[in-house]
Amino acid sequence: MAKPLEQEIGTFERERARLEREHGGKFALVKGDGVVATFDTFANAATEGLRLFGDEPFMIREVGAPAPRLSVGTLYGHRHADPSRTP
Amino acid sequence: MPTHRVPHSSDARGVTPQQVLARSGPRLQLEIRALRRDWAGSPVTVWALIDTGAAESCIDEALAGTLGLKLIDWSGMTGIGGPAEHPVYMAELRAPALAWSLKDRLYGVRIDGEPPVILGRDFLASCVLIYDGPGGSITICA
Repeated sequence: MAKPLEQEIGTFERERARLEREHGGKFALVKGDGVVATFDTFANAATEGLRLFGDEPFMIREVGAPAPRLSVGTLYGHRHADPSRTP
Repeated sequence: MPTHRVPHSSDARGVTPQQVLARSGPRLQLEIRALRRDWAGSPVTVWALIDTGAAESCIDEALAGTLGLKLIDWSGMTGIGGPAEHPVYMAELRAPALAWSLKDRLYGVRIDGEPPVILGRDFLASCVLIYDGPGGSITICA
């Protein structure tokens, strides 16, 4: 069984060099084997993706963004905090 | 710019607000709901941990499933267990106290505890956060 968004990820990788050259910092909306458009904000890409494709799969990825990093403290400290303490 | 102060209260065990803030971290109450074209998911209200050490905001994968958040990407992410691939969802986040809302990405991670949402520096990019350790409170302007 194919992983969800596998086709869209392949499309992005195929187009990555061009996207980074021409649309760095923008949000690419990808459906199937095509890049639909790029947008200045994630919210705009999300709105357009929902308008065009509804509940069908589509991908939104920031062009040229590095892989996110979670601080070690984030999950370690989070998992070991007292869950009963809320403000 | 709307401003909201979140006092971290003393508890029955005699723990001071300063200690609560230091131990639990700065937290903000949020409403989260799925983004869909034809229906709006019911929002769920949760406490979120504000983590200046995290680049991106995250949600517990179990909560993402309960909310029916839409998968919009997969991403490599480095955390305590080293690099791993995580789902990326889209959601609407709303902080009622700040009259602030945003359609944004949330990275799915296994949190195993409360609070089930981590707000990273992507959230803070649009905020001013004041951490008052001696006072046991935080103030957020968004």
